[in-house]
Amino acid sequence: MLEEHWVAETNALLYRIQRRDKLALKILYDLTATKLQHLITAIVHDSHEAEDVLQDVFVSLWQQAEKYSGKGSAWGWICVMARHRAIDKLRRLAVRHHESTDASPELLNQLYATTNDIDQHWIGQCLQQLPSKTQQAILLSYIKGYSHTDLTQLLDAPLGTVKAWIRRGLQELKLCLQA
Amino acid sequence: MSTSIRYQNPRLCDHLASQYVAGDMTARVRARTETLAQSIPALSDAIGQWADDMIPLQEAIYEVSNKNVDESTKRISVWPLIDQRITRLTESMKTPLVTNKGLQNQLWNTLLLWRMMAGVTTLASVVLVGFLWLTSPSQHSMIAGPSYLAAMSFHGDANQSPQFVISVYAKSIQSPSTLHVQWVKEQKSTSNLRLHLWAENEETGAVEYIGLQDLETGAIQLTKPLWMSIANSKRLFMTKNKQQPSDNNIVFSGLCLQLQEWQS
Repeated sequence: MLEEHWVAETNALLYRIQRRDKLALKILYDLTATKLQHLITAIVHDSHEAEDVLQDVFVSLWQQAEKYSGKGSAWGWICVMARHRAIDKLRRLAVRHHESTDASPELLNQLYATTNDIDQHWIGQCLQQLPSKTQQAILLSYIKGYSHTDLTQLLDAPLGTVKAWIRRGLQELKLCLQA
Repeated sequence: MSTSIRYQNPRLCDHLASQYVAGDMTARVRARTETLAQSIPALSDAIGQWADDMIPLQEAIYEVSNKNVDESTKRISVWPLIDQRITRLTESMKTPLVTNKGLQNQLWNTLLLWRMMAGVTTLASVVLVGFLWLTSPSQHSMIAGPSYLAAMSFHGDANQSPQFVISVYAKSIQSPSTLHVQWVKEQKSTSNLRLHLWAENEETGAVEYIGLQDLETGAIQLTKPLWMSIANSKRLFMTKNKQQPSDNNIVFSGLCLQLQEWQS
């Protein structure tokens, strides 16, 4: 799980990048690129496309660092930006790799079973408290970048239901993680 | 209920923020949300909070996927490519500011033909002005019109209805080169709006930065390089930030009309 000094370091680096410090961008790259690449690959499913997106993310960071308002952590802001870029790439490619809905329970079990980290264990518990369809909708939407429309087909549910699953699921997850 | 009051509702802000962070928005709605967040602190706070709340999930997935990833598929460094792109961007953002002597000299050296023509024209002008002064003393009181005009409309406006006109006046004996903004009579000026002005070169298509323009104030003085940028331009852009003009940041645009030859 993230340590406080790591969060503080990314905050400080983004502050330096806002002041056009290229060395800070390189340090941030060394610190975060592996994590971001995993995040992006989970969505685009292609390592070459993921590298393209990773490039775009760091170029955008350089160009748009001043848009970070200081609300929330810099790392949270960077993750959101990376997810958005990955989702945009996926939509442009208009390619959706086959994804079994069984993948989410498997991921969930791994998350729950393989970690000794208390926080991750807690996340696994929070996710497992959600109804099965809600779990799948959250994981496929948030981790895999599926749109609501994609999920209607994948989960065989009407659009309104999918939206409600995700909305309620995110709220419950947030409450559980904050508890 | 006005838009700004409606977005003060914490539940609405929280809902929008969750959708924004989860990536459940189209690019257009996302851009609109980002714009709203700049002016609505409650929305900006909610986005920051949601982004942080979801980090543990992100981290957990990373830990799990990292265990399953083969070493050979782990990150290949793309830093050199990022570095190249940033260097190119930085170079393209360099502007012909007064302080940038190197660029000024480079530009000036490439305009050798212009310099020669300017010398001949200046000499001819001096002779002509002297002649007119002597033969038609009443003519020198005539007020000179602008050398360039650009009718600026909202970028992408299909009707192309101009909002204001940018007029550029050449240097004269009495005053330096100046740029004026004048709002169209039916349009209301937007007070305190400051935008970045850019000129697109007619021949190369390169976009050059002119400066920050307050749409309320009258005239700004132009240095020689800036005057040249406008003199050689096909189109003017006004952007909301200092980044290269694109559909995302251009607010106004307008074709540049050269009037110099019409004045006789």
